[in-house]
Amino acid sequence: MRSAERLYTYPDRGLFIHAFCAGLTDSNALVQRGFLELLLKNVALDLPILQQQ
Amino acid sequence: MSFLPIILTASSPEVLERLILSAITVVLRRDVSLNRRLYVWLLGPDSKSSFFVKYALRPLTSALNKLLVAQDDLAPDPIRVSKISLALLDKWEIGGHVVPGVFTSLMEAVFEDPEPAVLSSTRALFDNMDPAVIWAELFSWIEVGRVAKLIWVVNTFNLREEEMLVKHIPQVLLHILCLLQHDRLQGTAWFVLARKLVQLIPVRAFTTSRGIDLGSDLADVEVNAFVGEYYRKINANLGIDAPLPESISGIYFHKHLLKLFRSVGESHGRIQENNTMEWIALLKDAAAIVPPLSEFDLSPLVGNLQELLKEPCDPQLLGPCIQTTIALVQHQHISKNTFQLSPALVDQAETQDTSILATFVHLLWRNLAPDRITRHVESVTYIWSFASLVSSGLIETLLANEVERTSASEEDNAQSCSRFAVLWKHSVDKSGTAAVLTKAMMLILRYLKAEETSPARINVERWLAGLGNGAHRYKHER
Repeated sequence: MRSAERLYTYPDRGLFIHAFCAGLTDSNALVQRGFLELLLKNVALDLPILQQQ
Repeated sequence: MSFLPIILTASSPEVLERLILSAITVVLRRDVSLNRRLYVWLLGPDSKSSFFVKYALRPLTSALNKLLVAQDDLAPDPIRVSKISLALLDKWEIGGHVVPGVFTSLMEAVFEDPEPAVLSSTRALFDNMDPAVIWAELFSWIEVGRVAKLIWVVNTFNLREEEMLVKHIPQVLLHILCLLQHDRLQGTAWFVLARKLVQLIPVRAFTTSRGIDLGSDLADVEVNAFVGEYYRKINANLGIDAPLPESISGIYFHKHLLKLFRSVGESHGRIQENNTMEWIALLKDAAAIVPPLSEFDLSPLVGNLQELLKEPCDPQLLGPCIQTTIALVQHQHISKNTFQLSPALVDQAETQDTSILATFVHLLWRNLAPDRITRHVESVTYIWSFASLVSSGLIETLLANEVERTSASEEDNAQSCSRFAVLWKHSVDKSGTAAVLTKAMMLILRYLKAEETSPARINVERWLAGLGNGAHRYKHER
């Protein structure tokens, strides 16, 4: 595992989602906008990893 | 801000649901720049509704539905779901798919706990939804028997949107009545719903010629098939900018409704006997709302009602039958001439078999017996209500016929006198008493010629003695 991947998914992959959820529901609209940009550029909904059942 | 490549390695449906729900929450800010980014993410690189349906619809709907049920220590949050749904209606490609998926669960949650704040946010959503989508959902409730919730929706939400009034409510009402006609819906609550829906329909809903005519057969099964197909088409067009399918025309709706009403009480009919009372009550409400149609004379209905009142009949049936008959005459569904007796029959005891009015008077006269004290007031009121249908002279004749009819024995005469005394007691304050009571009174007074020990004579004397100063109220207005 590359260090960048490891940074985001280790030790708990859920942390990544927790971070996004926290950012997207932040009280500051600018923070929300930043996280939406991150989603838009890096976490497309059709990523196999998101759609895995 | 620079964007790092992010690589995900594992997921589960719950993770995606959480992520999408968190993202969708930004719509509550009503911020254009946030919404634009969110919608681009949800609709994918080609901005297509199909992308959203394929990758996000199910988890989003599931997440919103989960918000409607208590989980762990979190209470249901219908307000949040209503507000998110309302905001998503601005983007039809997304909201058009999401809202139908949460509508029923949301309404059920509100039904269980209708707090004012919850109701207020749900009403805001309801008022902004496409009426066709609302009725497609409500239509699906019919199939699963959610009648109590349907009644609650009619009582609680605004259904006075024009499209609802002239298209959906008439269609759904006709569908329900056709199902009831064939015993495919059970329970009197459906009639409560039907009566509420009838009350909402404006006159213009009966006159529009635009729409589908299902043919002169007026077949109930075709209505059920058509309406089912209509709402299937609506569901197929969710999220698409498609025109509303053509609904049943107002003229067809009008004819079919009157056809259903004309068959109420048919002894050999398809209408379930247990529901006769409900049909008659519905008819009374509908008489004032559904305009009469010359080609759909409801006179045959009078015969049906008369047949129902033949012994042995449910004593509770008499009042609704009278009220409905009067309503049908007042609103010109039945001609007043229907109640005129031919001169040859006027003074005959057989009138009861030929005129529903005579049947009514006969049954009401029986209700004036001293042992039916709870029915006295309403029976006298019903007798006087016939003044709106026929002349006082005819009512007077029919009452006199009842006295004559039951004069076979001393006991019968005594009974007639007791009944007349009850009729008198509850009539003296009404106007035109002389015009209605004189003939019967003269017949009763004949009993004074009987022997002193005759029960009839004793009853007449008791009645006269009890008049006191009240007799002056007998009004000579003929």
